[in-house]
Amino acid sequence: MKVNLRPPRHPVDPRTVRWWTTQALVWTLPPVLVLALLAALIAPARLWLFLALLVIAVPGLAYTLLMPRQRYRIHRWEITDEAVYAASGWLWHRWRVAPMSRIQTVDTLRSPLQQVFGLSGVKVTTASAAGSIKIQGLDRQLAADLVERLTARAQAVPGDAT
Amino acid sequence: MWRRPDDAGGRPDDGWERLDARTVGVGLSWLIGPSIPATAAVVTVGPSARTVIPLATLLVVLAGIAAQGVLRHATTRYRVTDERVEIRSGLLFRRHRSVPRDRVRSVDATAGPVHRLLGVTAVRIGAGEREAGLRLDAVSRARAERLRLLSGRESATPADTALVTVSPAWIGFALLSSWTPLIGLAPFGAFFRALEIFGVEPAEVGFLRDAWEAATRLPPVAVAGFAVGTVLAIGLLGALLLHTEVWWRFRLTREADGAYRVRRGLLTTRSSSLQESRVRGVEVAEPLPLRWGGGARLNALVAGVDPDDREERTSAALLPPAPRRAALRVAEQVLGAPVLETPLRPHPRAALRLRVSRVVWGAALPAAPLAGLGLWVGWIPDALWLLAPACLLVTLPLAAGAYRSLGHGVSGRYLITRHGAARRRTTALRRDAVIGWTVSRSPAQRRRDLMTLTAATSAGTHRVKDVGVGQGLAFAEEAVPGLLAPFVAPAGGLAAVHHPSGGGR
Repeated sequence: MKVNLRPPRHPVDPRTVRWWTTQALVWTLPPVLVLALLAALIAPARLWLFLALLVIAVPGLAYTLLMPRQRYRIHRWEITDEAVYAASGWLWHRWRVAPMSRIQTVDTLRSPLQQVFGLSGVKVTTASAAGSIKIQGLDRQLAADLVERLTARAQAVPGDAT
Repeated sequence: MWRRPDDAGGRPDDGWERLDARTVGVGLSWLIGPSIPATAAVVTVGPSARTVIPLATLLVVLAGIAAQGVLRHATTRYRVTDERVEIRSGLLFRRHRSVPRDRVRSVDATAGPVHRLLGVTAVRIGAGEREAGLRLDAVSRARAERLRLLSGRESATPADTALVTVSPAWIGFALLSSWTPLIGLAPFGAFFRALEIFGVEPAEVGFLRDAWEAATRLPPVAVAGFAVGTVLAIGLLGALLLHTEVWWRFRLTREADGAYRVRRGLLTTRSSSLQESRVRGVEVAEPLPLRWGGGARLNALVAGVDPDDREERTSAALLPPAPRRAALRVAEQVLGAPVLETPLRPHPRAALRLRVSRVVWGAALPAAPLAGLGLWVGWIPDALWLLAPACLLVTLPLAAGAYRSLGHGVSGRYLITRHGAARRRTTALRRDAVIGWTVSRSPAQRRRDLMTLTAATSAGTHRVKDVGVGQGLAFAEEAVPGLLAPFVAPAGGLAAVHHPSGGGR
């Protein structure tokens, strides 16, 4: 029988689409605006500046439109009694599992931009060299509850976490 | 055996010790050693602004290093209590670092020529933190020997068993070092750098001018052959010397207290102790030239040590470059079973197609712009684009080799994974060391029903690359039962990302 990983049960907050879109714009908009301004001001180089503008703006626009929606389809999370399970990525997909008994610390992640949308993230750290598992784009209250639940659960499960 | 144990947060000043007074001598050697030949050079050439200024700069830098040594001795204090190892150091920026004794993973003692002359040793206490461990530079040999026992349970009776006898013939593997070309080029680089520092034009140096004139008269093929031959000869000699310096009198023993101990080195002697309970597995590394000669390296995978970190990795080396058979024999002794002899399961043919298409695209993409350049720009030869397909002569066999390397398996308490073409690595990892899985899939892997499974451990991350999806998930379940299984469902799961099927708890 063919088997596969199933997606984690819970999607991230729908507001993440707006958050990721804003984030994409923060990266793509400034160079586009600067080039547009220069193209408007410097008549002799207008053609070349306009070409450079296109080279940045077209992939930038595609990224801004596609990335957030695709991410929203992939990013999901789930917490069971035994493990934390999270999926992320948009072109490259990643599924990560960490057993509850190996969790060392649980933190809340709040970037300024995330806060604007009332979002927050959860960072689960183990002794692993692979780094922590991050669940980004949760409702702020939900994230706070999760951190509390995970901290309590991780402490309840015996083991020295290494 | 520590005479003054700190009784549970008692007097904080109790038991603090200084570094050995001879540390000052180690510091001063920086000043005295190199400045003698440098001064001699200036005297023979004759003092002028061009020679004196670099020399003075050199002296100031060396004096700075020497002063640092003196300062280190004056400001560093350390103590070992029943619970912790603590170091205080620094003058303006005081640092107090403290490591619980049961966190100590390894103790390395290194003594360079000057250290040995003065009878002292630098000790590094690895605690499995991201930043370098606690360093004590330097303490007396007797003290170093006692600190070494930190990594083990203290047991007084030494009943060490040697795990391997190094054959003198193994020195031949030094010649298969992948560093040979670099070592061969290094003296030329250093020579021209020195000329530049002292502001001498290469054309002003008599024998260089003669050599250049001779080179222009000879046919280019002969000159190229001579140059390559010289670099290779120097490289091989250098590799041999380096090998001798690093691996001289190599001994691997299992101590009575349950630690592995490696001792080696000709001028600089090194001794590292690895607590057995921290060993999570071994890695057999076969870089290409070494593999051609049937050789391999063997490293321990140690909790808290990132195997991709160069400095830490060398302290985990269990053997010098050795015949593959010898490496496997030692691995068997460390793992307790012939784990690495397990036949590995091959990965799907799709993994080969993925690798081949990667190198073919890698050659095809630059070919078009190169052809364009050849046509447009006059002085660029038209046939330049042929370079790109020519690369395939190297990259295609590498891709095929990389596919043949791929494999995974489970044997007793260990899981095994192998990958890599230019540097083939076979890893045997304790299954109970796995503290998480990562499954990752690139777009190309999704098209071909492949995935990369990564085992996260505190001794680095270990990948099973380009394994079939069903095969990889079955392997994860076999290696660590129950961890990934709750998240595995009958096929279609990944495609149905937006319609999650229930089945969790």
